[in-house]
Amino acid sequence: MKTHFWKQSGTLTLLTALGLSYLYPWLYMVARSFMRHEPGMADGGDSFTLEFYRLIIGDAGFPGFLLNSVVVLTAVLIANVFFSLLVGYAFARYRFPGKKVLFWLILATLMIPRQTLMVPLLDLMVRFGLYDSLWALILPFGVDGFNLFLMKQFIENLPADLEDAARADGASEFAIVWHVVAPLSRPAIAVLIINTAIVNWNSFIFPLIFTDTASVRTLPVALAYFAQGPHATDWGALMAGASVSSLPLIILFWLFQKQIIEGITSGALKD
Amino acid sequence: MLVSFLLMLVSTGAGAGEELLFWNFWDQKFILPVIERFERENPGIRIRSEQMNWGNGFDKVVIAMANGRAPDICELGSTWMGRFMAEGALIDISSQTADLKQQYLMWEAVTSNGKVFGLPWLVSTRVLFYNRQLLRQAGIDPDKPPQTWAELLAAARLIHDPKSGVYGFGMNAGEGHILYKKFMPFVWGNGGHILAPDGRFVFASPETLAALEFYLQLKEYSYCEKQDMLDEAFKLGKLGLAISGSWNFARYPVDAPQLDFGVAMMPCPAENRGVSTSFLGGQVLALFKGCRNPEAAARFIRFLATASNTLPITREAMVSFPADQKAYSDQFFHSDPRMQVFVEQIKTARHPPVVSAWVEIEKIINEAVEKGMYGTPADKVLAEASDRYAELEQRLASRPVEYSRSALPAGGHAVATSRHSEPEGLRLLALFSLFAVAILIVSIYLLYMNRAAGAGISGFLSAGKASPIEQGQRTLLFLSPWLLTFLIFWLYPLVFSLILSFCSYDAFHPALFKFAGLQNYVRLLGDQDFARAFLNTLIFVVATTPVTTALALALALLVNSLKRGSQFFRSVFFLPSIISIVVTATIFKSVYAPVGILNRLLAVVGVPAQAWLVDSQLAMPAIIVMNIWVYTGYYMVLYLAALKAVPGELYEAADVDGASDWQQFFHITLPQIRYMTVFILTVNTIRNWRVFAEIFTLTRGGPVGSTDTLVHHLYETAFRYHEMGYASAMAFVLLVVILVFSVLQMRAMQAVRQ
Repeated sequence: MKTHFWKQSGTLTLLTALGLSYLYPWLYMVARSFMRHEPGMADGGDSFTLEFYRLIIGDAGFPGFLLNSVVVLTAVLIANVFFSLLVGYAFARYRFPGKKVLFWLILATLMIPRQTLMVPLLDLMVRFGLYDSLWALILPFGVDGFNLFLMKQFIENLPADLEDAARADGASEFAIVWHVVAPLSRPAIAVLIINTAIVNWNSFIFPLIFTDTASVRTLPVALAYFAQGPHATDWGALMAGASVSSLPLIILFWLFQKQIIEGITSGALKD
Repeated sequence: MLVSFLLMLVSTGAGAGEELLFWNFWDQKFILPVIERFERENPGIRIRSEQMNWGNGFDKVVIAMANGRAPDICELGSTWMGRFMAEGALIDISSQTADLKQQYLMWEAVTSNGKVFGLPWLVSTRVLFYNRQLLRQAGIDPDKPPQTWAELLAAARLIHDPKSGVYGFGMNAGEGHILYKKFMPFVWGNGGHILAPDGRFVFASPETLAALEFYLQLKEYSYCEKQDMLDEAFKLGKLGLAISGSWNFARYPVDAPQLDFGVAMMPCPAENRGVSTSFLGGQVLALFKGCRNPEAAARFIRFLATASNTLPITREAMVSFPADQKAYSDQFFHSDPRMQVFVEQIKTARHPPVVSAWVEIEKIINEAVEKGMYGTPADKVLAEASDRYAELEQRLASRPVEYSRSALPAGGHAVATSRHSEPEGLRLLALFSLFAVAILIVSIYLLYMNRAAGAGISGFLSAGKASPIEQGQRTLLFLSPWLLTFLIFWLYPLVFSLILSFCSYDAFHPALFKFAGLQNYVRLLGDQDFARAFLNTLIFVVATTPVTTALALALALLVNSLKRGSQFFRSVFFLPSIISIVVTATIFKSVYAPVGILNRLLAVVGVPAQAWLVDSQLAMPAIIVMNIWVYTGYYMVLYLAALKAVPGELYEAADVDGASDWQQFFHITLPQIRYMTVFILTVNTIRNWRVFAEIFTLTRGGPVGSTDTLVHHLYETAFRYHEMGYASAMAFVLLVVILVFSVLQMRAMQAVRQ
């Protein structure tokens, strides 16, 4: 019993120490963003200030970047939910020639890193006049192989009776997917939304390559430029930028930790 | 008013009523008033201004040019002019600017073969900043700053006192692309050159060697960091001497009012040898060949570049001064005696060679200096530079023909039509063949469905109400989102990339594909930079993956063993992995800064401060550690789920048998989570091969390319150096590597599943 207690408190101490090292950066980020530090004075020269947030929200234009990220995310989420349901349903329920081939193709897209296609993809965007527009950040990402697998797997495990009944009543296939399958697939859709949202919100290299002007820039790219611009060592401003870029997600995470973590793990646990 | 209105009505100037598009880099508050005044004085001409940013301005202009959408008027960096002029992309404005020859500076940047293709607008140079107080404390008269190399070295040595946090000289490190601006003045001052008048590469000369050896001597008494850190150190009074530009002249008084600093001309080699010179650079205004109204545009740029219209920019940002020398009699340049130093230095400053391949030459020179800074002997470094130049020359020989030599007249309507897409041979071919394949698939499909129904084969899940054709159509409809995405965004780019990798492609002339066989792949084999990127990525993967996985397991075991609070710790460790890595990198930039938390913690235990992101040995480890910190929590969560799935009875039985904790771990836990381990290793490895965002944010390939990873190298090759064909070959190799890994690991996962 005694060793049990020591083990527990030892573990707790260790974890607390580690936990502090994990919490510290966020606390520092928030604290520093409000702190004006006078150079040349001893460390007593710090004072509270909102100037960095005024800079970030005003001149630096971060609200615009936030909006762009939100718009892109919303469009990508809607597209993914809609299309994954359709395609996942087709794979789960229909038999058709070439099913195996198509399945392998989907698998292939999961193994090919998209970054290696950056050159022709950019060329494509430019040719179609989509360069430097939000569409370039939405269209290629409307369908994702991982999400397709997710929906397919889930729908396969649903009993088909309701669908058969609806079909016998003369419902169209679309209606079946929309009114029968979708409501039953809510858990899978939730997982899909969580996974897609996290990946898309933080997506960096393609927004970097596909956009240029500030009017279509998203948050991560904006922050990276900001960290290399005239405020490169303006720590207060940098931390304010980092805060604005991450606090929404941090708050959402703290509210929905359970669901988010479950979403991540259920994607990994096939069994 | 009425008169100008009537004039407008009857105005028949070319492009009357049309807007001229003007791209520039400045805050519009400087540009718009000038445009307004110009339009008032020149009714019938309208100018629309669009602001670009320096980060990717060059790329944006090149891409626009490649698509026939270049602006009418454009602000260009002076070092870009070589390339644009060689490509024949700009309009000859010699006659429109001849009368300004004596009045403006920096004509060498806009002149090619005796013809002028741009109007110099803003110029800037670098001078020696010095901290008067530190000089005084070191026993040097602050009114007599170092004016020769020997004096500079001596001053740096006397001031340098790292123990008290004071440094002698500020030396740029970790940012390859700025170095040459600080270094070349020493070379030029000593009589060295980069290119001889006949175009030969004469960088590796005794004069340059002497300059390089001197510069490296300075290193011992220097603070080696990125520009922003050097500026900060100088501001804080911790740096004695630094080569910097006029923008700091504006910022220092505001950010550090107590700082007592002076500026001096760049030192010359010795009292009676060499000259004091500096780097000259700036911006010019040019007209692109498709300009819709060259005469009006020329009038505009003359108007814009005058001293009175340009001084507002200088007054506010002080980054550059007007090229119009009339400006220098303005009060602004006499309000502070130190300004005269800048004015004097500008007159003796030198602009780098204005040649087509300047961007590549700049890279060679920067690398040479950087390598020297990080330990390679000076003479070896120069010899390597010559070798790389020879390689470059060979490659340049195979560049597509200049536009100016092809069948396009200078300016005029023939070029205006180039604004629409030219025949894009290969691209169309790839697209067409893809559509053909798609149509083929669809038709075969429907035919098969029909035959299947006709042969009485039942087997479609849907009730037989719909005909097979309808079923086929519906299936296709359902699958179409994915099919389309696959065809357009996966298959087409894949095929096109493969084709492109066998071509030599020039971003300036995208219509001119030149089949180059295996040239790109052969070049890849011998490319040391690529080999280095490969090695760096390999090191990254090997160092990060196992450590992250092991730590994740350890953390998971610890958290799992807690009776209470496991939820809290789970969230705390997991959080960093879902925040954008750019945010984390920004925070770590502060942590790794010279005065950041890490160094301060180390100081407590007596370890001297390290330049984490600027030391070629430490930069990669620093990024590796950050990566491990971020992602351990993610995999920990996965392991937690796997641990919970282990049946408790196994442990109970083991307890009954008297097995120790370690035995239980090795014989129960590990085997049970084998699948998850392989899964994590797979996902982890694949993700690590693709590392990019943190490199881009923190080091851009880092000191001497020590943090240049494959995807980052690919990015730079494609989007900084515009070698699309070569980049495609590189991309393909990367693709194959990752694909092979993925397949192998998927197989392993399947094997474990059994």
